[in-house]
Parts: sequence; C-alpha cells; structure tokens
Amino acid sequence: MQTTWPGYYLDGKTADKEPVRVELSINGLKLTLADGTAIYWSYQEIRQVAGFYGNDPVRFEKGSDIPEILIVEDHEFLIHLHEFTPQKAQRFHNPARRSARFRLTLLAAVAVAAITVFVYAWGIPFAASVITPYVPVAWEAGLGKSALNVLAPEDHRCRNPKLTAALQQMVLRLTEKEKIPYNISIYVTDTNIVNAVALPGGSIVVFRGLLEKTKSPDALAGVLAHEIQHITRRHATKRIIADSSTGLILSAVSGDVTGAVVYGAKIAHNLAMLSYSRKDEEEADREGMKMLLSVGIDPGGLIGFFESLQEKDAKNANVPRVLKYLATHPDTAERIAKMKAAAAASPRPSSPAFPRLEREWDRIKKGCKGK
Amino acid sequence: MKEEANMEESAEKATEKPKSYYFTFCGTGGTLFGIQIVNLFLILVTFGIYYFWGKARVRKYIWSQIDICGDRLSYQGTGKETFFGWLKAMLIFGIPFLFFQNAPQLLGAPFPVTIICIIMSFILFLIFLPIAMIGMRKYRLSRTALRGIRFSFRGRWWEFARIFYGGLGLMAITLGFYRPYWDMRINAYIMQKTFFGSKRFDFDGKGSDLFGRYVLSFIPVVFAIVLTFLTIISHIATPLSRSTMLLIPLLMFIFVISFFISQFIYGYFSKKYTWNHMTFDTVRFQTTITFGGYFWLYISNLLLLMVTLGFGLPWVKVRTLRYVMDHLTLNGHLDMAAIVQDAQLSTATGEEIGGFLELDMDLA
Repeated sequence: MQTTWPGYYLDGKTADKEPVRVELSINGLKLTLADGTAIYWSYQEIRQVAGFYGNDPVRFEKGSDIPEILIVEDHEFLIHLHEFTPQKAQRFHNPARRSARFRLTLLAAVAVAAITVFVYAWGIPFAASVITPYVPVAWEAGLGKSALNVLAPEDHRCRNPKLTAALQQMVLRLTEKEKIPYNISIYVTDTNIVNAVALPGGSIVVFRGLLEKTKSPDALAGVLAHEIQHITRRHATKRIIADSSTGLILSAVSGDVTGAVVYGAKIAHNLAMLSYSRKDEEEADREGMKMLLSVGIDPGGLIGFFESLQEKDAKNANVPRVLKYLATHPDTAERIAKMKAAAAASPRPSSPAFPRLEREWDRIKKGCKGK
Repeated sequence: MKEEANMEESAEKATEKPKSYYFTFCGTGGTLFGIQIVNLFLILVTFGIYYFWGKARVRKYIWSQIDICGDRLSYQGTGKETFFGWLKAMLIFGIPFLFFQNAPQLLGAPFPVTIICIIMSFILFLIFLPIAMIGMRKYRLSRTALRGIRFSFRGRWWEFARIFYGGLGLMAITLGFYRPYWDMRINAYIMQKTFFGSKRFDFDGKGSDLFGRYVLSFIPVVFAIVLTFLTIISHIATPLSRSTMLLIPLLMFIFVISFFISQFIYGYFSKKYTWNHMTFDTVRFQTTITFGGYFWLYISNLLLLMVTLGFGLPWVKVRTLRYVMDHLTLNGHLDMAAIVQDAQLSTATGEEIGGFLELDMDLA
C-alpha cells in the first residue's frame, strides 16, 4: 500500500503553491514541504471539500474562515487512505462506494417521480380541503371582486331593471330556506358566451349567451342554484388554494419565491378559466337540485336547458368547445340522467315558481342585448 | 542593490515570452444531473428547506470543475448562509414587496389604494434591484477562491445605481442607442471593483468600439420592419380577408424572432469584446469564441432542452461552460506568489434578494 503521495500545500495567505510530500499516519497526515518543514494535520481537523466526482483532485482544508489547503491530484490517494485507516477515514469520501451513490441517485429519481404524483393527486387536494374552511369570507369577497372586474367590467354589465328584479327574485327564492354567509349578487354581462361563473365571496357572473339560451326562469334558477352551491361550498377558493399550492411546490423546487404568490393572485384574474373537479361539479349538481326542490322550483327547466345544450353540442361536434358551459361541465348525459333521477324521487311542485316571470321570460331574457 | 535586483527582474520579465494560461471545464452533465435529482428529492422531503443547501452543492460542483492552468476554483458558500440571507431578504424586501403587489387584489382594495400599492412595490423594486445586483456579486465572489485566495467585489450599490439608472435614462432618451456605452460602463465599474486577493481586475473596453456592431445587429429588426411596411402597403387598398388576417400574427412572429436574433448577435459581440478587454494585474483575457460556434451552441442547447422537455438543462449548462472555458485564455506574465489574501466580508442577503428578483450571475 502506498503511504506517501505528492501534493501541494497552500497556506491561505498567498497564492503560492508549494509542492509537498504527504505521508499517511494513524492519527493524521504529515506534510513535508520542499525546505524540509513538516506540518502535522490530525484527521479530526481536516475536512474534504473536493475530490468527490470522477478524477477530480482531492482537496483537504484545515481551519475555519481562511483555511490552509492540501491538494493531492492522484485520486487513488483516497482509496489508500481508506485502506490505511478505515475508521478514521470514514469522514472522507470513499471512491469505492461510488456505485452505491449511483444506485441512491436512481432511487432518488424514482422517489421524486412518486412524490410528485402523490402530492399532485392526493396531497394538494387534501391540503386545500383542510385549509379552505379557515379562509375568511372577507378574503374570498376581495378575490371575487378582483375577478369580477375582469369577467364583468362595469361598462359591460346589463342594468335592465326588469332583468335585475327577476334575478333578485330568483336569489331570494333560492335562499329563503337556507342561511348562507354570503351576499349573493348576480351580474349579467353582455357577452355572447354560454357560461356562468361563480366567484368566491358571493358573486355570480351570467353571460348573455347563457341567459338567452334559457327557455324559462326555472332553468336560469337551476343554473343559479348550481352556482350558489359552488360559492357556499367554496369550490373556487379550494381550487385557488390547490393551484397556489402547486405553484408553491414548483417555487420551492426552483427557488422562485415570488412565483407561488403571484400565481395564486393571478388565479383571481383567471377564474373564468378555472374548472372544478368532477367531485365538486357532482356536489354542486346534487346540492343544487336539493335547493331547487326544497324551495319548490321545478327542476324540469334546468334539465331541459341541459338537454338543449347537449343537443346543440352534438350538432356542433366538429366545432371544438363552442359551448363553454359544457366545456367546463363535462359528462352532460350522465348529469342529465342523475338530475332526472333526483327529480323523479321528489314530488314535482304543483304550481310554477315564478308565474309572472314565466309569462314575460322571452322579453326579460333579451333585456341584456345592447344593454 | 535591491533596486538593481528589481530592475534586473523586471528586465528579465520584459524579455520573457508572454505565457498563456488556459481554462478548462472538467464537469459532466450526468454528474450535475445526478446532483440535481438528489437535491430535488431532498427539497421535496424537507418542504423546500434544502433548496439553499442544494444550491450550494451545485455551485461547489460547478466551481470545482473550472480548471485554470491546473488549479481548480472552489466555492466556499454554505446553505446555512443563504438560508439566513433569505430569511433576512424576506423580512426587509420580500414581505413588503409581496404585500404591495398582492394585498390590494386579495383584500379587494379600492382602485386608488391599488395604484398606490403598485407604485410602492415599483419603488421597492427600483431600490432593491441595484442592492441585489451588487449583493449577489459580493457574496458569490467572497466565497470563490483559487489557490486558497478569495475573490472579492468592492463596489457600492449606490455607485452602481447611479451608473445603472443614469444609463437607463440615457437609453430612453437615445431610443436604445446608448446600450453599448451603458453596457461597457457597467462592465468597467464591475471589473474595476473586482479583486483576486490583493490585486484588481480592470477593463479597457469602450462603448464607441461596440457601437457599430450594435447598430449592425439590428439588421434583422430593420428587415422585419421593412417587410411589415411592404405588407401593409400591398394590402392597404384591398379589403380585409382571412389570409390578410393570418398575416398579422405571422408578421408579429417574424418581428419577435428578428428581435431575438438581434439580441443574440449583439450578445455575441458584447461578450467577446468584454472578455477581450478584461485584464488582471499584468495579464489579459482572450477569448477565441466564433459567431458560428456560439450560434451552434445556442441552437443545439435549445434543441436539447426541447427534446428532453427541460431535463437536459444540466447538459446545457455544462456544454455552455465547456465552450466558454475552452476558448478562454489569460496571456502575459502572472506572478501568483505576489498575490496575497485580502478576503472581504459579505452576507448572503443581497444574494437572496437577487434570487427573489430572479437575477442571475453567470460564470459563462
């Protein structure tokens, strides 16, 4: 076994590199400079800072702030050091164990993939559902207000008094039996999109396209009942938290601290693009139906609305995503079937919920066009 | 007698042939990828805390693979330093900045309050940008050593801010034509404040030398403007058709691409000129990078990133460093024994504010 090695010594004071003979001993390294001066470094006070990869020179340092340095260019030095004093050399890198390091790296890669899948599929939704109930309603209202200005700018809002009165009447009717902590406000915007969006904090944006597609006030009330469920069950807030958490994890990994918060805040502006999970949609459908039936509104209107959308969608099968409402609310046939089943299980209301609106509905629903 | 001896030594040095000191990058993409995968795993299991230690590990590896004439650079920064630097950066900059940026939206503040908050966040950004740029350089150089001798940066953020914002103002007034002068002034300031031990770097580049090449680099943009103009002229009399409408995004795309090509051309000229006008003590840096080589490096790196969906980033870093280092030499006589330790203290706060602002300081 080789016990002496050529190396270089640097004193940390000048850049002068002095050739040195390194001798292995039981308790440390003996360095002999060219002029015969001997320096003794005990293993305990040495730390290895380079020589961990490939054929990199081995670099040992001694001292804290500005250390003395020993460089041994022959990589075999470490192997011989481990053979010479296995116990004391434990604090240094052992090139013989590099294959284990490679296996551990592979294992880390597999673990990263597994953790990513687990966190994305279960961790984040779970964390979001735990955190959401603790978000103050005032914060939700603030987020909703920001998004409202984007989705329904002041100059695009419909202010037809008859339409406003009709919507107020529907909200009052829908919420008469349920005490909810939100002040539900409906905003109709003059945009020809068949969609409605529930914002955190109590606002619902109904696009003119959807309003005009409804054949009766009951159908619109059905859509509103569904959107109210998204609000009361805080689905949008939960989604924002989930998306922000994804951003937070990506930020932690990449070190981009601003990313997560900015991402979270931008979501407020992109609520129109927000799609709920299948579970949230089913919950909003189910509870929305319950809400309709509990206040005596015929769900037939809502079912009919969905059927007409489905029909239209089938006709336009080659036109991608023309009907936004269906795009964000998938599996329409299944939903219609479930609604029909729920409606069949309950007695149908004996009289129309909004008889006066029913008569004037065709005129009221067109009250938005051109504002 | 001593004077005579010195004069003899100087005369000897003057007659000696200039020596070339070569740079090499010895690292591999595979090793860097392995380090980053393990870092990623540890970052995930420590809920992000390991990020700072991981960053130090990557730097230690990259620095240690830069060989300057048989000596390797070393990075002596630690994760603990940057972690505490980050905490401090969050306290003095991050939290106030994020508050002003996001609180109005989250709390639904009225419009005037939102505007005031945006202005406040912008002011904070303007103040902390030069602090971060200087702080990053100070920290990284103070933790970088060659032959045990630390580098240091001794600039002051307010001096830098004067050059930086003064140049920015002149850029606006001259419609961007001040750019090469601005860049070279910044380079000169940075180099003249950079030390290796007790000895200083210097820079003798001038904006006027680079001005012609800067103007030339805009040929692709001029071409795009002429193309747009001709397209408008040829369609002005005809009514808007579907094909005309399709031309608009196409022209925008050509314009953006031409702008990037211009920036790339100027980036190449600027980088080469900067390296070739840097000196340290009695030696001068020289790079032999070529436009073709630099262009191929960027195109192939871009392809590598696209094909590997970003996972090829470690190889991109290694290829870039290898190309730059392989083409870099120091020419002259360098008396390493005359360089003595003169380390400067620096905290990692500026480094982490820089991280917050997504600034970076490339070695290549």
